[in-house]
Amino acid sequence: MRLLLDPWPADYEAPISFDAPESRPEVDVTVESGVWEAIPPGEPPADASCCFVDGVRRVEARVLGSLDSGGFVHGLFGSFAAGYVRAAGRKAEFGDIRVARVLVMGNGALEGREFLLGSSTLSFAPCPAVRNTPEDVLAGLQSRMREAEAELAESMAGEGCVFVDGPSYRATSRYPVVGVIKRILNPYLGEPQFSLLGRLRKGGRTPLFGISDTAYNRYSCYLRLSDPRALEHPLAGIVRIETGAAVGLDAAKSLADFAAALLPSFASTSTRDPRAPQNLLPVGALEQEMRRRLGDPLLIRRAIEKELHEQRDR
Amino acid sequence: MSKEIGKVLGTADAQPLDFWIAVPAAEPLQLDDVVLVRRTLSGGHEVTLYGIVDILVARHEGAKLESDVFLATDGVLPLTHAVKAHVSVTRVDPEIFVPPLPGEPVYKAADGDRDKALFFDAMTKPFPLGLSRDGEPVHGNFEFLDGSRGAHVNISGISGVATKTTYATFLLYGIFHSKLLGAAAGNTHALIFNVKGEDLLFLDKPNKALRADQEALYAKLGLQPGAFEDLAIYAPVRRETLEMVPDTGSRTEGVIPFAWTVKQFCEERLLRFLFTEAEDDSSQLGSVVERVEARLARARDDIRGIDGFDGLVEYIQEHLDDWAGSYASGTRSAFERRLLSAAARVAHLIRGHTDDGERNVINWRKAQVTVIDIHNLHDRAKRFVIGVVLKRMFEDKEKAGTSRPLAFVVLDELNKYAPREGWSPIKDVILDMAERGRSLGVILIGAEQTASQIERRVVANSSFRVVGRLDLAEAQQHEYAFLPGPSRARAGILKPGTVIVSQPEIPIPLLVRFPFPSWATRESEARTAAAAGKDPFRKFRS
Repeated sequence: MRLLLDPWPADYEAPISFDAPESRPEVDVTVESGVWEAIPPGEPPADASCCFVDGVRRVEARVLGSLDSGGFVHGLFGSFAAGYVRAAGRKAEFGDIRVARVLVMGNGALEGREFLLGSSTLSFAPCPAVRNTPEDVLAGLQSRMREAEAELAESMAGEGCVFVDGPSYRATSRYPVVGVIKRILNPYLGEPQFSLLGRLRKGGRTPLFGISDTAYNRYSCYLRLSDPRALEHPLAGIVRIETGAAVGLDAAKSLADFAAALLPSFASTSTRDPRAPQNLLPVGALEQEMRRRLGDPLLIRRAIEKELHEQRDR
Repeated sequence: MSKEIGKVLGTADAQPLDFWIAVPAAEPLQLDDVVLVRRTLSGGHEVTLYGIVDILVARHEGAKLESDVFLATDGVLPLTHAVKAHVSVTRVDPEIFVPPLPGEPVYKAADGDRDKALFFDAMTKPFPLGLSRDGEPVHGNFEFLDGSRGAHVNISGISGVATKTTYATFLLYGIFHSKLLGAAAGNTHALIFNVKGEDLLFLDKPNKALRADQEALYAKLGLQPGAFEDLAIYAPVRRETLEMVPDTGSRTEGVIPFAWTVKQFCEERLLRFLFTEAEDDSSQLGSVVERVEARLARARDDIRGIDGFDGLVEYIQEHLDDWAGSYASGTRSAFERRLLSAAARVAHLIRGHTDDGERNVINWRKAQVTVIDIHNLHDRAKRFVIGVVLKRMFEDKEKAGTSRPLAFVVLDELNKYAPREGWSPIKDVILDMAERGRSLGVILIGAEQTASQIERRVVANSSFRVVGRLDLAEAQQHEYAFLPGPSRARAGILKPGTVIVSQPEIPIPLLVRFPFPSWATRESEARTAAAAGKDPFRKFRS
């Protein structure tokens, strides 16, 4: 058996999974073309302008709330941010970056906290999670971040093509928003079609295929950002993009062409980003900037500890 | 009004005497700008820290790799600009030394705030030093120049950029033409030795090439552009002519030829100034010179018939064995050798008689400003003239017994006359001037290429230290330790017309520009307006 390298560092979850997904959506590989062949990239429009939207989250502290009845409720102090980078002409710049903090409590409990850190007030808004497990509490923070991303993407949609990191586009499926999925968790395609991915060259994409499932319908395709090194497996450097079916097939096609022409120039290299090339350069910089805006984790942790210590006296 | 230009930043330590500020990238803050920041303490005390920007740094924030800059300029990677400035504190008012707090607004000091930052508010007698980079006047405290609290100016800088002498004359112009001296202005004198070129022979002629924008700079300093009206120019008599004709090229009109008579030479004991090579202290030569001088001073009758310096040399040679017989023959022949070689260089300056004894003697009190042109003379003759004139002036001031009115002496190429190593009669006079001039009212404005080659005490006694463009290796010498690192680096790239001035009250040397001379520095500027645009800095304009 020949072994090939997966370029992502081992600490990250593997970018590819071949487990059979729980639900099998209906896939139509003929929506764009009857012939299943690679589509080479076109020239990007001269005045190409696009936005990259992303979010980050951080658990500041996990807590347990003690109930009068003697039981406990899982909870966490969490911070998250959503922001965007606008790339137009020869200029890429950070746009609006929104930072918010929540106190997520399981069992639907509503708890908020507000306290001072230096000269600024840290306000952790109440955020109930339905069930009382650590995973659900974390999912509560995650979904608040996704909502913030979606809201931002929606507000940007009038200003050219918007690329959203991950599957956040779902809430905004009416808009020309392109979701960029870094990892292949569900191949969607059967073996004969999937084998085309290994033959894609940089900027090349598969034809669009339709995906219908209970959530909603969308168009999708695979796109190669960069050619793999000889020792890497042939799926390295591939992303999948999605657009809501509501935008219509023609719009979905032109968005896919636009993405194929443009995205390879934003691909990162392994010296800049461990998750290269899928973690796009503007997205990597945006994540770094947003993490900075979340504030210093140690200071916030200390402030939470101080707050919890002082509440004993109240 | 002082305007906010940034905030104290918190990623570097802020200290009571220096701190960093973050500046919006679009803010045109530049080196040498004067800023202030306030800090409120408990009890309602407010401390104001004043300072000068001496380092400015711009970076890409968020960049991890050097090549990120290409990605940023290609519009792929978003990066932001960050500009920070380092402030060296000049003054803390009141003197409570606390650090400024990160986040506090920093203002660019204007008007009264700027005067406070640079101690101008406390100067009862300010004199113009020039203009700062942003066009505001920079003053010096005259009390540190006139002897009350200090004296002397020392100017260093490479030659050929017309900065040292021009700045020295600019300082004099400012002192004489501001209201600083008041009624004493008429009696205050300056003595300028013109050691190179003939630049200083036209000080009394307004510069016709002066542009209107330069006139505005004078106005900003409270000065009327013009020339030194009351000027006397002396030049050595021409060799090989019996008539007393000044040996100058570009100007003869109004130039007084100078020479000494054999009688004056003997009576005033000027022989020692022919022996001005730096000597080892232990040398016996000085003793021989003194003995011969003493004999000559008494030999009034014998020298009456001597018609020139060569005759005097013969007379000395005839009597040397008699006068100095007790000295080793080696010392005597060294004396003779030097006497003869000096004779070849200065013989024409010492004559049997002059046209009019009084007129041809250099009188530094004849006019407000006296220029003595010695650029045509051999080094040995230059030393003789400088030594004799300075000694005479110093003696005159000693006799007067008062430090007022002041007398200024401008002397370039100080390294020749007061070198660090060895001893010479001129060095003695200059050192005396540096050390006692303050109490006698003799102010030395000395200049040299390299302060590291000057007698330490001469430099150490100068209250004002001025640096023009320096050789970068020279700038690293200990003598320039008063310049902080960034100023040293800048000394290597200073443009003509720009100097760095250090004065006692201000802990940081200031960079000043001084206006183009409003007096002529060459014949063409004095004669016609057609020469407009030609200036002594023309080769160096970028």
